[in-house]
Amino acid sequence: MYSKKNIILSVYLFLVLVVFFRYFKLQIIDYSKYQEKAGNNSLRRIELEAPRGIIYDLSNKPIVDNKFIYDLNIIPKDFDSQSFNYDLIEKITKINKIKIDSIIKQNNTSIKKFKPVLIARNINLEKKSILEESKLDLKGLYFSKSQVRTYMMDCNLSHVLGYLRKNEDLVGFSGVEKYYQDLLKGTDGIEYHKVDRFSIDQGIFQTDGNILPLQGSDLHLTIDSKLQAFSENLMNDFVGSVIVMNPESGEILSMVSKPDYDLSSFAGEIPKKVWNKINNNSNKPFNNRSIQNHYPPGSIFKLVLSAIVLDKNLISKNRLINCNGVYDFYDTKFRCWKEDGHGKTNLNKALQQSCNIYFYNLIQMVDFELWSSEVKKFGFGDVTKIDLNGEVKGIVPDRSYMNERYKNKGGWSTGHLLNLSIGQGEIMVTPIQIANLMNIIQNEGYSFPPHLNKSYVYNKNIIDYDRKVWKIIKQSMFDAVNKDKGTAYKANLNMRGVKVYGKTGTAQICSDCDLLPHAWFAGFLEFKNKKYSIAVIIENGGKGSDLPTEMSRKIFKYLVDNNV
Amino acid sequence: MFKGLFDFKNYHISIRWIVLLPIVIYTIIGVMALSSTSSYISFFSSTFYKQILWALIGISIFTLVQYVRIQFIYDYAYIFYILILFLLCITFLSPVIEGSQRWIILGEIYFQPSELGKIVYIIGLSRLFNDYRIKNKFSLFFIFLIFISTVPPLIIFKQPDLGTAIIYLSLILPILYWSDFDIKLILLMIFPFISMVASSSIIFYYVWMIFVLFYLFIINKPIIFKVFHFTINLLTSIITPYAWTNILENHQRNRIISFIDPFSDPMGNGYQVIQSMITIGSGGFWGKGLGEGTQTHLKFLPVRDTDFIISVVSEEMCFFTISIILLSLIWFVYWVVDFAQRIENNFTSTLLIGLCSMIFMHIIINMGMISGLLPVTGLPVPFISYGGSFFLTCSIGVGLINNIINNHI
Repeated sequence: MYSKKNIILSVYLFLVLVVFFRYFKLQIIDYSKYQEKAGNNSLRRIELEAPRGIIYDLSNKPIVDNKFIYDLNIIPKDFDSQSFNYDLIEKITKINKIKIDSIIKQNNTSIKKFKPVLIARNINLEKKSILEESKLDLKGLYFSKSQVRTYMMDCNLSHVLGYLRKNEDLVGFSGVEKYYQDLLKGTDGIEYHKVDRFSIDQGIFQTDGNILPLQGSDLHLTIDSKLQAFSENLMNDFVGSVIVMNPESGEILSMVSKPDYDLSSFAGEIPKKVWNKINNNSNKPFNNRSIQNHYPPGSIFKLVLSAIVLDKNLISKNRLINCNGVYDFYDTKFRCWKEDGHGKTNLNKALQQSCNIYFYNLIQMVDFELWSSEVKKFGFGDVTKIDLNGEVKGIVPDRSYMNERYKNKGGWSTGHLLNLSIGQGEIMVTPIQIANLMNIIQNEGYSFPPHLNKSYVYNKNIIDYDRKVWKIIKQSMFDAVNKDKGTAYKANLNMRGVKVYGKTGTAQICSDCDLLPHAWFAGFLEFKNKKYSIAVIIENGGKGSDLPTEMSRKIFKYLVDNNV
Repeated sequence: MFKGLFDFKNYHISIRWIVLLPIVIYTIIGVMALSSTSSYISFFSSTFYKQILWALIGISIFTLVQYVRIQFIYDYAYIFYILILFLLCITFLSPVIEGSQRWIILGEIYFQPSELGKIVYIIGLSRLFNDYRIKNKFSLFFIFLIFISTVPPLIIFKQPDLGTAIIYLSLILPILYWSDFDIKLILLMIFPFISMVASSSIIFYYVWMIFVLFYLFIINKPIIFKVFHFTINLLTSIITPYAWTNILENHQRNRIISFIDPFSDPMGNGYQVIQSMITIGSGGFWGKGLGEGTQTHLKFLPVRDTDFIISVVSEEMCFFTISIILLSLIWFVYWVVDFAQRIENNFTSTLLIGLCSMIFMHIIINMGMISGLLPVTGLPVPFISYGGSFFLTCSIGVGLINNIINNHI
C-alpha cells in the first residue's frame, strides 16, 4: 500500500487534480464571467445609422435623398511624415504641412495615437478617390463616412422640408423632417466589430446581436416641385408668403416663405459663418411666414363678416348703404380708401370694390361675442393642424381679450370694433388660415386641414351656413376679378372656361408711418374639374390690388398652362 | 570519448505505445494549436510547418536514442555533469540577448546548454544519489551532495532563466525519493520553505508551527535532531519578515508582490496572466473553434506560440482537450512509474523517474502558471509549445524512457 510507486503517483495525481479543478473553475464555473471579459476586450458595438426615408413630391420624384460625405482623418500611429505627400493634401483640402504636423503632434500620445484624428470635413467622393489613389504616399489616412441629405429639385422648399441636426443622432430640426421624424428615421442597426489589443478594427464579428439598419419610411408630399420653383422665383425679391392649395382635399401644392435659405448648406456640419449669416438676417429667414407669422388680414376679412351677417339674416344681399368716403362715428372720422366714396353700395359692390364704410355699418349689426365665435368657426384664432411644427394661432379678439388689452388704456369702445370689420386692429391671421378661408368659400362650407403628407389622415371641418351665403360671396369675389372696377381686376386671366375668384387686402401696420402696408391677395381658380386656392402676402408690398394680385395671376396662368 | 555510446547490433527496438501514446497526443494537439496561431506567409515564418519539421527530426532523434547503451551513460554520468557545468559557466561570456545569457554562440549556431543539460542533470543526479545511498540521516556529506545538485540551477537562475531553474530544482526531490531517501527527511527539507511563506500570515503561521512541532514529535529521531529542525524553521520564519522590510528595496518588493499577485498590477506585470486567464475562461466547455479565439488572434494573449500555448488550446479547443492533456499526463506518469518499479537496477529505475518527472513538472508548472495558480515565468510545454531545441530535449528524454523499458526489464 505505502509503496514508493503509490506515494509518488498519489502526489502527482494530487497535483494534476489541482490543475484540473483550476481549469474546471475557469472554463466551466466562471465561464460567463471570462466570456464577458473577453468580449469587452475584443468587441466594439458600432451603431449603424439607418438611412432616412426619401421624400417625394406630388409627381413621385424624389426631392430629398441621402448621400454619404466623408471626413478626412489621420491615424497618428500609422502616420509617416517622411513619405507623407503634404502637397497633395494641401492641393485638395487647403490644409498645409504645419497644421497637419501640429495636429499629429498633439495626438501622438500612447493612448490617442490609435484613434483617427479629424483633419478635414466634407470631402466629396471625387476628392476622396483622388486621395485614395495615392494611399501609399499618405500612410495613416482614414476616411470616416457619415450620412447627409441631398436635395434633388430646383426649388428650395426650405421651410417645408426643414433641416437636420446632429446631436447624438441625426434628428429633423424643422419642417417635415421634424414633424415626421419618427416616420423618416428608420431603425438603427448594430454591428459588432472585433478590435485587437491596440483598438484597431479587425472587421465584423458574426453574432446574432448584429442588426441591419432599416431605412425610414418614405414620405410622399403634396408639393408640386415645379410649381414651387415657379412661385419661389416670383417671390425672390420680396418678403412674404405664397400658399397654393387644392381646396377639395387641403393638400398644399406650394408653400413659399421668403426669404428662405439653401438647405444643402446644412448637409453635414453647417459652417458657423453661414449659420450666423442666416440667423442674424433681420428678415428672419428661419421663420416660416406661412404659418409662423401673423398679420392683420385687411379687406380680405370683409368676406368673413359678410358671410356672418348673411347667414344670421341680419341684412339682405340687396341692402344699400351710402358711401361718401367718410363715416362719422361719434367724434371719430373713419374713412373709405376711396376718398370720394362709392355712392350707393350693395353687398356685392362693397366686396367687389372693397368699400370700408359698408362694413363699418355691418359690424354694428352683429353682437361682438357672436362675431368672435363665428370668426373662430372659420379656423381663425386656432391652429389649422397643418403637419408642421410651430404653427401660431393668430388672434381673434373677444370681449375678455379687449378688456384685458385696454385695461390700463382707458378701456375700449365700439370704435375699435369698426376696425375689425375691415380686418384691421386687433385681429391677426396667418397666411395658412387665409388659404383655409379660401378653401371654405370655394367648397361652400367645409374644408380639410391643410397638409403636406399625402397620406395625412384628416377630419372635415364644416361651417353650417346657408348655401346661398357662399354663392353670394363667391359671386362677389368673381366680380372683384372680372369687373372693371373690381379691386382684384389684375388677377383676371380672360380665358374661356377659366374662372378666377379673388379678394385683395391692404393691411395698414401703423398710422402715420413711412412703412408701406402689407399687401394681400387671396382667391381661387376653377377650370375644367380642377380647383385651386391661393393666399399671397407681401410684407410692405403696398396695395393688395397691385403686387400680390399680379403675382397670383401669374400663378393662375401657370396652373392653367401647365395643367398641374 | 563517445566510442561505445551506440550499440546497433544487440539492442532490440520496440515501441512502447502505452507510454508513447500521450506524447503522440501532445504533438498532435500542439500542431493543431499552432495551425491556428501560425502565420503562413512563408515556410520560415510559419511555426506550424516548422513544428511539423521539428516533430520529424524528433522522431529521428528518438529512433537514434533507442541504440544508446545505458551502461555508457552510467559510466560517463559524472563527466557529462562536469561538462555541462562548464558549458553553463561559459554562457556568461556570451552577449546578452533579450536580457539574459542562456546561449553559447558559435557563428550562426545558438546552443542553450541548460536545455540538453536537463537530461544530463537527471542522469548525474540519478547516479549520484544511487552511488552514495545515505538513507536516513542528514550527514555533512549529504549536504555536500545537495549542494552539488543545486549548483546547475543556481547558475541557470543567474543567467537569468527562472523557469528552467525551477524545473531543475523540482527534479531533486523525486530523484532523491526514488533512491530510497527517507520521505520523512525529505519533508523536513521542504519545511523551512513553507515556514518562510507561512510567516506572511499570523494565523497560518501558528497553525503551521503547531504542525511542525507535532511532526517532529511523532518521527523517531534523537531529541537534538528535533530541536535543531525546529530552530531552523523558527529562524527562517523570523528572518523572512525582517528581510522583507529591512533588506529588500521598494522596487524589489513590488516586483515580488506583482509576481505573486498579478492583480496588483493588471496593466503591467500582471497583464499577461490576467489576459491568459480570460483566454482560458472564455474558451468554456465548447471552445471557440480553431482560429476563432478572440483573445489569441486579437493579440491580447502574449507569447501564444510557446509559453501560453495551453491558453490557446483552452480557448479554441475547449475544456475537453484540457482534460485529455491532464488525463494523458497521469496515464504517462502511471506507466513510467510502473515500469520503474519493476526495474531491478537502481540507476535506470531512478533515471525513468527523473525523466518522466521532467515532462510532468514542465506541464503541471506551466499550466499552473498560465491559469494564475503560480507566479508566471517563462516555461514551455513539452511537445505542445513551438520550439526546436526543447522538442529535441524532450524527444531524447522520451527516447531514453522507451530504451530503458525495452532493455532493462
